[in-house]
Amino acid sequence: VNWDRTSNLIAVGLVGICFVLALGKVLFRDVAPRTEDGRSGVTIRFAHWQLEGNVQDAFDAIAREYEKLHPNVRVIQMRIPERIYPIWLTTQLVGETAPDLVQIGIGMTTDKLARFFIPLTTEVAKPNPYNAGTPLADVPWQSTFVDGMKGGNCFSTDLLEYYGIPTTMFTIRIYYNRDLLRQITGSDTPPATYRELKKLCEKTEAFRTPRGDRITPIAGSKYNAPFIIGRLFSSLTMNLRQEQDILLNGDPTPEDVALSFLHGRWSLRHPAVTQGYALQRALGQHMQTGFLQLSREDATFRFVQGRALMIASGAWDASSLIGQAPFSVGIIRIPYPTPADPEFGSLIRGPETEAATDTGASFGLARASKNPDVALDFLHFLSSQSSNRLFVEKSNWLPAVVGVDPAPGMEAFSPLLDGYVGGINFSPSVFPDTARTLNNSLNELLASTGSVDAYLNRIEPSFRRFLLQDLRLGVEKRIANIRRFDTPIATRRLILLQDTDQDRLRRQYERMLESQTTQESQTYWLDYQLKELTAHGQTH
Amino acid sequence: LQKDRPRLCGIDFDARCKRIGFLHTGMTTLSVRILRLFLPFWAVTVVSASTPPPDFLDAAAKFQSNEALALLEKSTLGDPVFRDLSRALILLNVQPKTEGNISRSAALLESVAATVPGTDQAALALYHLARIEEVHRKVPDRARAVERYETLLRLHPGSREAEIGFVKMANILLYSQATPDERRAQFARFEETGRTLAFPPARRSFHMSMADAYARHGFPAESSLRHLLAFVSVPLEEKRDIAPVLYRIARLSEATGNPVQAALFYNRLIDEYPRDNRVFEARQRLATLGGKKR
Repeated sequence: VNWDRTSNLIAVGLVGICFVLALGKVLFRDVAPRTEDGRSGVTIRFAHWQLEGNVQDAFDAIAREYEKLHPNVRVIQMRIPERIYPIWLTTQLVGETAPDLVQIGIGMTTDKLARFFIPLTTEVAKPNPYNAGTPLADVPWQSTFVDGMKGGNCFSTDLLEYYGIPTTMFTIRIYYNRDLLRQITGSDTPPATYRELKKLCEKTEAFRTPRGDRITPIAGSKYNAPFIIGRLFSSLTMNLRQEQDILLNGDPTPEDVALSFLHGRWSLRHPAVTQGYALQRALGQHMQTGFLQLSREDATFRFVQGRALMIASGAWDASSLIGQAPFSVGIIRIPYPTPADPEFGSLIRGPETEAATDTGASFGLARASKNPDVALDFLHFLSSQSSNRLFVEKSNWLPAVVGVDPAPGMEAFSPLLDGYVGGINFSPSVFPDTARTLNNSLNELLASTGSVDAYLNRIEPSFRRFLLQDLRLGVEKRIANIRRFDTPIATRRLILLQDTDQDRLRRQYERMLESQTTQESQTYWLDYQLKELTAHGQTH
Repeated sequence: LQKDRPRLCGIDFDARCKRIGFLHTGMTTLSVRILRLFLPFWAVTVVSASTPPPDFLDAAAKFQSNEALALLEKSTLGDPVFRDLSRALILLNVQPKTEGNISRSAALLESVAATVPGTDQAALALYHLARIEEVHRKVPDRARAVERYETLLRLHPGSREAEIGFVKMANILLYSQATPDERRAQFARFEETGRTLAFPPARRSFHMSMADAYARHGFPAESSLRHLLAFVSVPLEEKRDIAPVLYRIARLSEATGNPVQAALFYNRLIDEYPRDNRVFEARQRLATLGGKKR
């Protein structure tokens, strides 16, 4: 026996067997995708920053329902704290590791939307298949939402495309401790008007618990207080704002209201303004001392621990507050002064409308999704009438879909439709320096030693200057934005010159052109007015 | 002679023709020269007929000008006019925005307008030369922009660029310093030219700009109302939020003593935009007019 030859043959044979086995393994390997837990199928991830109360359970319930319908799909929810969400999302998007569905809003820019998200414009024009058998069966997906997808970051006004699908909507309300209310007033009836609210606050101030503790009437913080005092100021300045409506469109721009001020058509000493601040002071007095330095958590703890009777916040806090509070939580609309109010009545038009309340908590479809069709299908499911109903039941949040009622007890969150367009508001997004001046001096108004006069004396000297500064900055920003549109508009035109059949592109081109031209008209008007003011020495 | 011989797409036609004994050298030289004159038009036609939008245009359309420029540099798309025009339009928004890029863009646009006069490309180039003066220069020169728009209107009357350029020019002039007489004359001139507009976005933008300008300059409500009614009469291909316009028409109709028209537009607002913030107010105004909500 030639041992060498035999061993060589054995070796070659072994190599051959290994090769055949490897080949077989490759040829017959299971190419079907697997979920994270090893089952065959696909995994869909969706990320959001809504850590409040039962929202996670609500999303989970919907995900499990979807998995029942589609056993080959696993749906995973990713909850990312709001504070780190923008940085986390940017990293995921740039690294192409973003989840399939991503909540859009915080930290989102036009550039990120265009680069990392799939437009849903064509999809939202078709009915949602999961609405089959409901009155919404043949309704375009877009029209199945209460606001027609106008808000909630669903539509990009820059890109003229739909990117987000909403799940809820938010209104601002006052939450109150029912048990404490009963102890303080001997009744279950919450206040319905400003006068009743004021009386309740005074009663609460005088109240002592069996241990002799004081109760704060309204838990305030730099986050929560503006929800209530800002709205009260707005309620008194509705008429004043409408008087500045030179276009008669019923909703004058903040810039037009500011220009009107600069032209001397109204002043900080106008009764609506002074009374508005007086109203803010009257209610701010019933919040805890130093509340302007406190955070959202401080105010929430105070309320949940039963040390405050009321707190103002959005519907997004409903599940947290109701879930965490060891007492029964009631919800009321912010009580405004009525026209019969002896102090403020003459300046009141009526309640502020919430008809145009936007939807929110919207999800976009990431380009990085490995299974965009499945992700889109889940998005359809998530926003169907039945899923939204389940979401509302589990989360106590408001519905975003037409025909879905708020959960029992949550009716008070429904938007108020019969009301007037709000009053004057120097929002930080339009008037950053002016808003900072107003806020930094609030202690002069709200401190126990403060007064409306002291506040106005503090802000008046610089108010005009900051308003002008903000308007000038606004003009610069607007022109920068107008410039940005030239290339996208022109490239659409170039493409259309090559191929005139691109109907969708043509409509986008025309809308962008119109929107840019309208913006220019408004910007040149502002610029012209600012120059007029300078020419007439009205800048100081 | 060899050096002077023209080539088309790198092919020496004279040499080839000689080789096959087809035509006299002088004849082919002339033919090629004529052909070369038409090359830009031919190339644009061929490119437009046969290729999908290039990736650099796609990127530029998504506000990604820097990426678009990089893609354009890599692209082998042959037509020089198309490339120059694309480069010029992309350069307008390349970051960081520099005066150098804007000047390069302007030079390219001038070249395109001179190379293919009378074409849509030339109109687009002239329009953007005006836009450069209007908004892109570090120190915008709106008076120069108006001159550029006037040139565009003169050279390309009836083109889309000229029509929208006219509205942009009107916006500049309506908000520049003028005596009351000058202002009235401006409005009269714009009214006249505005009647000739055919491009729907230009017509809508024109009517909206005029309605706003009349109101802002304190002209009688009828002037604004007329333009707003003209605005809503231009057909829309898709639903848009025109609730503010409907409310405005209703209010102006009320102010000019036309309650029937006011009621009509309040009703339209209530029916078409039930979740608009103005609906409650519209209902109340409708009630005072004695009109019934349908």
